[in-house]
Amino acid sequence: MAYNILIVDDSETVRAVLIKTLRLADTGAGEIHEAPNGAVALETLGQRWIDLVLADINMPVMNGLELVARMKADDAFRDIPVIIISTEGSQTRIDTLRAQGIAGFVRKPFTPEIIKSAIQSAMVAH
Amino acid sequence: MIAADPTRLSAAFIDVVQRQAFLFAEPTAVKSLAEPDSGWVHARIAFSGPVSGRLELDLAGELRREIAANVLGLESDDDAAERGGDDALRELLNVICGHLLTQMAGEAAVFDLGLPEVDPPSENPPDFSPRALAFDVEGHPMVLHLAIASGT
Repeated sequence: MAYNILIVDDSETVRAVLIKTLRLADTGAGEIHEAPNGAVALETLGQRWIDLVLADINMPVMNGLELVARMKADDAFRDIPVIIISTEGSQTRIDTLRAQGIAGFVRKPFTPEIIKSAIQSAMVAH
Repeated sequence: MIAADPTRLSAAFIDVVQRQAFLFAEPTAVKSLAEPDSGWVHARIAFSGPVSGRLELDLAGELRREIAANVLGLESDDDAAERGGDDALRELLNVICGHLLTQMAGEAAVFDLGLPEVDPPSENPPDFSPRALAFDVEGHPMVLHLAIASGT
């Protein structure tokens, strides 16, 4: 089964690398959608069927922390697994995000193998 | 007390540049740096948390294209590498900053990062801080400066 994935990152470079990774690493990706911040991500979630969200934290307009909070507060989105892909190094913040219900965390820089493993873990748990 | 140990910061910087941009960086002295072919580019990112400040990076203009090409898996003469140079540099700075702050303050500390900014290339050499860390990145200069404004 293919998963529709939403990539949320303000860097076009990171989105391009993630798309290439998802396509080449046999991650089960179906449709791949992109958003440059949390606000656009929420619009996309309202318009498309999304099975998995890959989100950065540090973004303009709406960051990844608020995006996770807004998704978890919305009945329509709270069960969609979210993997945070960030430069964040604070275990305190990662623990907080896990308590909010994120499905995984990947620290940048990442490798295709790490992304694939995080997606497999998140989707199996889901 | 949160302190910026130059040796640890240098090691963290070299590690991230290698893993994120696939470039090899070697510590050197500012006075030993090569002159850039395409001017100097200045990039910066602010942070706040247990300490506040900013991380600044000055580098050879030609390295922007090199970084983008390496990250995106393109040839360095690909137009997409030129177009993506500033974005790739902003992302690299973001990742470097996150790793340096963890090295400096530990995994329990929580920081908020600002949005990275990149200035257009300038022919004028920057006025480097005495605390700046200089690197030779595959024959090109890159200089890192962690400026701590306030904190514990």
